[in-house]
Amino acid sequence: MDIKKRPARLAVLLLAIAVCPASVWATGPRIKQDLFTPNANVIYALDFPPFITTELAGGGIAIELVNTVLQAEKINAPINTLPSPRMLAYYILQEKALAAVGGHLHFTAEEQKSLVFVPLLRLQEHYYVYRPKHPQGLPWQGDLKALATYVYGANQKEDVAAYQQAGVKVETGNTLTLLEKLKAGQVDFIGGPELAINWYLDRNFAADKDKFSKLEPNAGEGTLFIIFNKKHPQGETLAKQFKKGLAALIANGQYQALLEKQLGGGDAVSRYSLPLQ
Amino acid sequence: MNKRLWLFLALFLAQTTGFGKGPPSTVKPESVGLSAPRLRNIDRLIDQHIGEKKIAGAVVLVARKGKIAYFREAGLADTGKPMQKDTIFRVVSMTKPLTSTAIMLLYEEGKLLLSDPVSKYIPEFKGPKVLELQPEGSASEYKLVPAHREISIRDLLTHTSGLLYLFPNNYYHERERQLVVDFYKEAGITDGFCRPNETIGDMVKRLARLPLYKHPGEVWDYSLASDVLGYLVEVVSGMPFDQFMQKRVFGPLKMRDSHFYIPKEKLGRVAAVWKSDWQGSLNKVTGPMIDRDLALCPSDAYALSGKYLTGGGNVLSTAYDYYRFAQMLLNKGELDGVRLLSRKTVELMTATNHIGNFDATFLHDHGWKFGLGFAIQQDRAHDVDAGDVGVFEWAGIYSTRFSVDPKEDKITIFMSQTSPFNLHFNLWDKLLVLSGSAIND
Repeated sequence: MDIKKRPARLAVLLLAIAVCPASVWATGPRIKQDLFTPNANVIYALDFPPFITTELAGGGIAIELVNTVLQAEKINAPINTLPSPRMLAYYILQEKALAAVGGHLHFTAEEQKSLVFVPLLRLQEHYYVYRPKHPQGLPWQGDLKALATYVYGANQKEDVAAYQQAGVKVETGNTLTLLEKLKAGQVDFIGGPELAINWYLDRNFAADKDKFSKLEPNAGEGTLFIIFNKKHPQGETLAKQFKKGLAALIANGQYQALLEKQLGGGDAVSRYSLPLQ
Repeated sequence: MNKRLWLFLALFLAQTTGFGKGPPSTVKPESVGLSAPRLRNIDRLIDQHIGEKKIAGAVVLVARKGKIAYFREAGLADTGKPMQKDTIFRVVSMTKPLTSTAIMLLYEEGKLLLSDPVSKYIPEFKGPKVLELQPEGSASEYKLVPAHREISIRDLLTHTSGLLYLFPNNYYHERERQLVVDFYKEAGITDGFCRPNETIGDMVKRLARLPLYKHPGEVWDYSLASDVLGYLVEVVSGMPFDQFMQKRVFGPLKMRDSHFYIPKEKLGRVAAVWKSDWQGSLNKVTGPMIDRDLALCPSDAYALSGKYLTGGGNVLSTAYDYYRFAQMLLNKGELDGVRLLSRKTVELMTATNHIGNFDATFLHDHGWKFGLGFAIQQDRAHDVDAGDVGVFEWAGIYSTRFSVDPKEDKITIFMSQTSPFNLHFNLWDKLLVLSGSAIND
């Protein structure tokens, strides 16, 4: 603007300079409380690399799937990935957050009544041992009773009732600490999807990755869910909408394409994919 | 002996001893205004503690006016191995002032501002939550509420971020602290005194997403903040933290025996850690020492390499190397013609008004403030006196200490490897009294 020709605007500008404190005019970063704009529809996810992780650009395959469905269904819900199961439980059960995403989550029967579980991925799980401690592996043929004299390393919040019933001792930890305990001989076997175990072996145990052995047959199947909260005002409605969107994603082949892009070809997709029909 | 053999021997000594040209020279105490007979009281103090099996050995260095006037080793570094002037110590938390210096180098280059939110560089810190206890009978014992503001780099330097260490949970019994520590444990956060098998970045990015103990700026609590700063150096400089420190701090200051992981040829110079009840029971520590939320792994210092590079406690160093660092600070940023930091930056680091009305009571007492990496004595109206207003100090958990007295132009360094940490406070306080009372001008 040509301020010489517009004295009124010049007066307003000078007045503003006089009235506003210097800090308003300061440049550079400043910290303000209004940086945090709460969104009523936050989804909380639990670290579970490589399925859920802030280390990957898209947040991991599970988060990419969720975001793809949310986008297709025009649902505005940011995803916040947490490192602690207790935090996730807090947000879902106490703060009544819209939804949670994760594997190995455990809710009581009472808590489950207010939750809607929508499967996202199938998790074929295997047991792992550390070969220097168990050169012959373990007597695992599919019956936990055969492992009654051994110690199992369970993920936090994992349902360990079956192990306890079979007489297997249980120690808990996150996957990284469980792998360290396995190597140190403090636990005899741990379980998890091959992709998740390999993530940590590659990053944290690269030098002795080949000393960790996978046991056959597999240890069963788990499911990675998005769990909607009926106590959230829109929880049930958005759960239905999400289910519809996920079904459409599977039907139009985009679900499989995303898995192939993230997991590569071969049998990896079939091991983690939901039934495609 | 021929010339080649002499040359070989000289090179060999340069490689295997820390000093290269032999131990650094000391001056007559009187030439720098110190009394030699009075300094000899330090001999008696240390020898008495060794004789009573309170500590196995120590290296003590007192410098004044830029010259070393007292430099003495005593006792054992390890079983059957006498302490040497160039013995290498786990200085643990005395890493923190070094890390602060790295941050201030980046600050001086305009690469960051102390007022910057940490999330500007480590996005996981965006939108921090604070754990707040709820009144008894509430549906939930606590709530996670948005922090009043984000954590700034200054908060990390001054330990006002609201982050915690786990081990003070052994001593301070508050429910909020316990709950936050429980979150830390669940997320695999440790104090790093037993080096985890992961990168510091992996740890920091989990820590950043956990609840804070208090709102940033509304608490002073000794914490993992320096570990975050170490990772921040990596993010801002684009260099691994150990390489940055070697290139920008250890190298220019000729701290030739300061390392994150010990080089193989120096393994034999690392002191053992000794567990002492301060009553005559003194035993060399060979395995981890776990006491509830305090986990120490002294043998990790023998690892030749590793992933974990922590700004809070990783560094191994000698009394002389640390003296060089302290002398640089005392000289307001310069040593032997090398200017590491500007005078203005060191003045900022040693200012006493960074933490407002809080006191840095963790090692000291009320009347002690915290600058950008160490505690500073603000007045003398308290029990833990370091001799002058403006003295700045910090310590390491295996009983290492340094103290810089700008008014008297004096540095005192004490290196030992004794656990538990708190039992050496009495010895340190006496050592500072002796070092101060040797002033004779």
